[in-house]
Amino acid sequence: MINFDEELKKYHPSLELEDAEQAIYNQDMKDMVDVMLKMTKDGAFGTESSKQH
Amino acid sequence: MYCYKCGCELTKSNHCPNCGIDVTQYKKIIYTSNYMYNTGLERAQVRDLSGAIEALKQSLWFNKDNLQARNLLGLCYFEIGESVAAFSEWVISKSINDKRLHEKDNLADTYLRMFDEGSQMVANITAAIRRYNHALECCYTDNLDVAILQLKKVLQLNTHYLRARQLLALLYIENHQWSRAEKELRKCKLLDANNTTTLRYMKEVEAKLSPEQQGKNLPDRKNEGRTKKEINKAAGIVKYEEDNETIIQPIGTRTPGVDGFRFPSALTGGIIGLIIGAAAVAFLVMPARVETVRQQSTTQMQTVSEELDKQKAAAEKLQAQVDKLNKSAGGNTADITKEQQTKINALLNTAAAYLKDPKDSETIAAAFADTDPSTATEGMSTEYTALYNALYPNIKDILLDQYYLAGAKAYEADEPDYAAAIKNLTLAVKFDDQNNPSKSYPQMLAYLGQSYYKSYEAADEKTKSGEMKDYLSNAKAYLEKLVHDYPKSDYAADAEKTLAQIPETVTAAKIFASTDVEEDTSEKARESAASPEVSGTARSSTSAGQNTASQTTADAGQNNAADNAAAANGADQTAAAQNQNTAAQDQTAAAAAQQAAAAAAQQQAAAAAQQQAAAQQAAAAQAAVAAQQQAAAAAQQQAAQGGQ
Repeated sequence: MINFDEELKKYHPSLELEDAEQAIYNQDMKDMVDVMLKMTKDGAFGTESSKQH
Repeated sequence: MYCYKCGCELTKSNHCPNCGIDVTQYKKIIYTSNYMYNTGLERAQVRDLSGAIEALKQSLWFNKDNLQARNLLGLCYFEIGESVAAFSEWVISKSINDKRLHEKDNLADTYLRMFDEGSQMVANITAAIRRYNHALECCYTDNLDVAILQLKKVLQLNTHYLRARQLLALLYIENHQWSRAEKELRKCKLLDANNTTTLRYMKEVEAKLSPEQQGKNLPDRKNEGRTKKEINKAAGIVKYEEDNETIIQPIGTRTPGVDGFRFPSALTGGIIGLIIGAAAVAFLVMPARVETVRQQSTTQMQTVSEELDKQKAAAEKLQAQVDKLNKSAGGNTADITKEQQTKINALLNTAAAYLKDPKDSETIAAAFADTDPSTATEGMSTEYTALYNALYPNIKDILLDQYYLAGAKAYEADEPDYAAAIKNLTLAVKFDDQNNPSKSYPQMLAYLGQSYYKSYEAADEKTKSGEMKDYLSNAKAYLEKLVHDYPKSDYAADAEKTLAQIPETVTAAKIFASTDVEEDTSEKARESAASPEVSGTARSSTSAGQNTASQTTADAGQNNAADNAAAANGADQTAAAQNQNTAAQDQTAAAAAQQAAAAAAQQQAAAAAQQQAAAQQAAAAQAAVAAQQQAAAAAQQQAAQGGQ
C-alpha cells in the first residue's frame, strides 16, 4: 500500500532555467580520476619517476 | 585515451610513452567509465531511462570528461522532462576544457542550439516547471484537486514530464481513481519502462483493479472513485463520497448507469433529442405554417373566384349580345325578306295584271288584295316605291269600285250577306283615300257599321263572345265616324239610331287616325276634290328622289283624273287623249316594274349581305364568349390546384 505522504516526500521542486547556472556551479565535478590523482599526489601509488617494466 | 598528466596519447603499455607515468589505474578507470556508458546506452535504447541515467551517472563518476556519457545523460534527462538537468549537462559538456576533445564535434552544441532557437519550447518548459512546483505546494497543503488541475496543465505543456505524471498518478491513487491512475502510469511506462516509482504505483493500481480482489470490500469499476456507501436506514439516506464530493441521497434512489439503469448513450440521446425536436416542430411550427399556407390559398381562391365571376358576367353579357344579334339577324332577315318579297310579288302581280288587262278589275284586285296601302312602301327600295306610286293611282279607283260594288251588292241583297259586305267594304274603305275620300265613302261607312251591328245582333251568344266579340266596337267606330264626319249624310240618322242601341260600355275600335287628322282630311275632301294632296309623299321613303318620283306620279294621277273628268263630259278627242295618257302611263308602269324587279333583286342581295354580316358578328361574339369561358375555366382549375 502506497503511503501518499511518504511518496510525496520523494518529490522535490524542479529547478527553473534561471537557477541552472547556480546549480552547475554547485555541482560536484569530482570523479575517480581526480581521486586517483589525489592519491597519486599523496603517494598512494608511488612516485612519478618510478616505472614498472 | 590520453595521459591524464601530459595529455599524450596512450598506447597499450601501462605507462605513458611521453611522461612514463603509470596509467594502469587510470586506464581501468577510463575503461570502467566507458563500460558504464555502454550500459547506459543499452538501457537508453530499450527505454529504460532511469537505468540509463544511473549508469551514465556512474560513468561520469568514473570519468567526468566522458563527453558522450554526459551528452547522453543530458538527453535522457530531457526525454523524461528534466529540462534543466539536461541543460546543465550539456552546458558542462560544452565547457569541458580539453582541446583535443573539442576538436571533435560535440553533440552538446546541437542540443543547446535547440534551447536558443526554440523560444516557445523554453517558455513551455518554464511554465510547466512553475505549475509543477505550484502543484507540489498544493499537495503539501492538501489541495489535491487544485494540484490535479495544475498537473494536467503541466502535462499539456510538457507531455514528457515524468515526475509530474507520476505525481498525478499518485494523486489519483490517493483519490482512489484507480483507472485514471492506471492510465497515467501506462503513459509513464511508455516514457520510462523500468522506472521503479512507476512500477510501484502500477503494482498498487493493478492490485486495486485486479478482478481477483473484487468482492473483498474493494470499490468496483462502476463505483470508481467512490467510497463505500453508508446506509442510514433510520434517516432514510445513503451517504458516500465521490471525487471529493459527499453525496447524500434518499434510499432507493437509482443513479443512472450505476444502479442498474444505464443512462442512454450519446447516440440514443441524440435520437431522443431528434424525436423531441420533431415533435416540437410538428406541434409548434407546423400549425402556424399550415395556417399561413391556408390563408394564402384562401386569398388566392377568393381572388380567382372574383375574377371568375367577372368573366362569367362578361361572358353572359356577350352571350346575350350574341343571342340578340342572332335573333335580329335571323328574324329581321327572315321578316325583311318575307315581307319585302310579299310586297314585291304583290306589286309585280298587280302590275302584270294591270298591264295585261287594265279593265280586269277582279284579277287586279286579287293580286293587290294583300297589300296595305298605308304601309305598302315602308322599308322598300326607291324603285319599288316609284313603281307603286305609279301603279297605285291607276288601280286604286278600280279596286275601290270593285270592292264597293261587291260590298254594297251584298248588303242590299234580299238576303243580305253581311260577312261579304264587311269583307268587301273593308277593302273598299282601305283603298279609299281617307284624306280625300270618294263620294261613296259615307255609304261605305254606313254599310260597314250596319253590317257589323246586324251581324252581331243576329249571332248567338257563343258567336257574340267568340269571333264576333269585336263587331260592336267596329260598328261603333264606323258609325261614329260617319256621324262625326258626315252629319248631313243620308245615312247619319240611321247611324245615330244604331249607335243609341249600342251599349255605352262598348268602346269604338281604333280603326281610323286621330280626329284632328281626320278633320283636316275631311275638310279638305269637302272643300275640293280637284286639288288632292300629294298623299304619296307622306307614305313614301325619306329620299328626295323618291318624293320627286311620287310627286311626278301624283301629278300624273291628277292629270289622269282631270282627263277622266273631261272624258265624262263626253268627246272622242278627250277619250283619245285619255287613252294616250293611259298608254303612256302603262309604259311608265312597265318600265317601273322592270326597275322594281331589279331593285327587288338588289334588295334581296343587300338583305343577304346584311344577314351574312349579322351572322359574322354573331359568330365573333360567340367566339369571344367561348374564349372568356375557357379563360374562366382555366382560372378555376388553377385556384383549385393552389388550394390543394
